Amino acid sequence: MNYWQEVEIIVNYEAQEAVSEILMNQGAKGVAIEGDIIMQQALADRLGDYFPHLTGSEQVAIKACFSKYKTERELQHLLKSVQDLDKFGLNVGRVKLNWKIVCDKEWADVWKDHYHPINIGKVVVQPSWEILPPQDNKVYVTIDPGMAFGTGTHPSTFMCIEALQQMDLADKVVWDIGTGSGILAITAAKLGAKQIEAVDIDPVAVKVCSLNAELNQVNLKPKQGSIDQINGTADVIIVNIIADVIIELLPQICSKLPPKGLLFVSGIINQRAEEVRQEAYQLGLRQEWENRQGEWVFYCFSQGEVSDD
Amino acid sequence: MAKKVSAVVKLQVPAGKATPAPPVGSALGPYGIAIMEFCKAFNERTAQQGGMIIPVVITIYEDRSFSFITKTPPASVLLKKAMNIEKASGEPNRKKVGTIKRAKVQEIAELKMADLNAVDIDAAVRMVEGTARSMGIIVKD
Repeated sequence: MNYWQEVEIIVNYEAQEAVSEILMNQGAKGVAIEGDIIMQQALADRLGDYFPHLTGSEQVAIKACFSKYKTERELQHLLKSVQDLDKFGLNVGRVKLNWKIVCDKEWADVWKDHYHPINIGKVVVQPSWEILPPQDNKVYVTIDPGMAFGTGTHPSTFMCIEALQQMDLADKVVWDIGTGSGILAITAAKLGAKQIEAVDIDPVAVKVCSLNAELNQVNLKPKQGSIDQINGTADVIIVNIIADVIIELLPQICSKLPPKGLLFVSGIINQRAEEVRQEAYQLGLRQEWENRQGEWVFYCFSQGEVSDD
Repeated sequence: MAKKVSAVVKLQVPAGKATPAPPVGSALGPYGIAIMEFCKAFNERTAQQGGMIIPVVITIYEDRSFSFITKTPPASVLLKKAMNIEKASGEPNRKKVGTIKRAKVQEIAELKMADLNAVDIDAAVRMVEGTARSMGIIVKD
C-alpha cells in the first residue's frame, strides 16, 4: 500500500493554470481539476447527452498528491502563493486549501466492486473476472467494462436485453445501431440470432465491441459508421442512442425494415418519448409495446402487422 | 447509447505516462471507472507527445463507462517552451526567469482560446499574462 498527501486548492477558474504550475513546481506529478466550469466545457464539446444541473460557479477544485508530505508551514506558504496570484493580475476569488491522506487501496481495484454479474431474465451479464458457474437455462454475456458505453447496468440497455428475450430470434437478422460495448449485439447472437450487424460512429466503441465479441466467441465484425454502412434488411433493428439521433435515423430505419420487422428504440428520456412516438407514427410504424424504467423509455415499433405464427 | 454524464474530471498529466498512481487513480477511483483502461487508452493516444504535460478531460457516464479528449498543453507549459526554460520561478516577485513579448502572450492565448473557456480573447490574454507573471516571467510590449 502507498500513501500520499492530497492537497486541494479551491480557486477561481481564471487562476487554474497558474495554481497547477505552482503545484507541479512543488513536486506534484500532475493535477486533477473539477468544477462546474469544467462540466460546462464538456457540455460545449458535446461529450454527453444529459448533464447534471450546473450552478455556474466560477470556482474549481485543483488536487495534487505528494508522496513527501508538506508540513503545516509549507502548506501555509503554498496557500499564500496562491492568494498572491492576484498581484499578477489573476482573479483568484476566495481561496481555500484542504488536505487529507489518501491510499491506493482506495482505488486500485475498488472500481471492480461496482461490476458484478446482473440477471436480466435468463441473460446474465458478467465481468470477465467474475464468471459464474454456468447453468443450463441461462445465457451468459461477458462484458469487460471499458470506455464504450453499455455495461448492462443502465436502464436503457437493461430494457433492450429484456425485449430481446421476448421474441424468438432464431433465423432472425438483427442490427445494432450505436453498438457501444457491443452488449446488445452479443446478447442477440447468444440468444440465437442468425446474423448480427453492429455499427458505431465512435472508433473506440468499434474496437471495444470487437474485443467483447471475441471474449464471447461470437461471430461479429462491427463497422464504424451508421445504418448506411449495412446492406440489406433486418428483422430486428435496435437503436439504443438518444431521442435526437433516433428521430434523425427513423426514415432510414424504416426503409431497411421489411413488413413485420421490429424496431427497438431505447435511451429516450421521458420528456422526449412522445416526440419519438409521433415521428414513428408519421412514418407508418406501429407501436407494439413500451417499457419504462426510472426516467428512461423503451419502445418496440413494427413495420405493419406482426403475426403470431 | 444515451450518455448521461455523472462527472467530468480534467487531469493534467505527462503524455504517454499515465499510471494508476495519483493524480489519475485518486481522481478517477472514486467514480468507479476502470483506471487501467483509461491509462492504456490515454498513453496510446498521447505516446507521440514525449512526456509533455497534457490536459485531458474525462467524462464519466452514469453506467461508469467514460470517454476522454485531450486539449492543448497548459499555458505554463507553452510559456516555458517559448522561453526555453525548464522551471518557473519559485519566488516570482523577486526572482525573474526572463522576459516575453506581449505579442507572444497573445499568440499563446489564441492557441489556448478554445480550451480556456475564456469569453473573449482579452480574457484569455489576461489569464496567460497572469500565469506568465506568476511564473516570474516579465511581460513586455
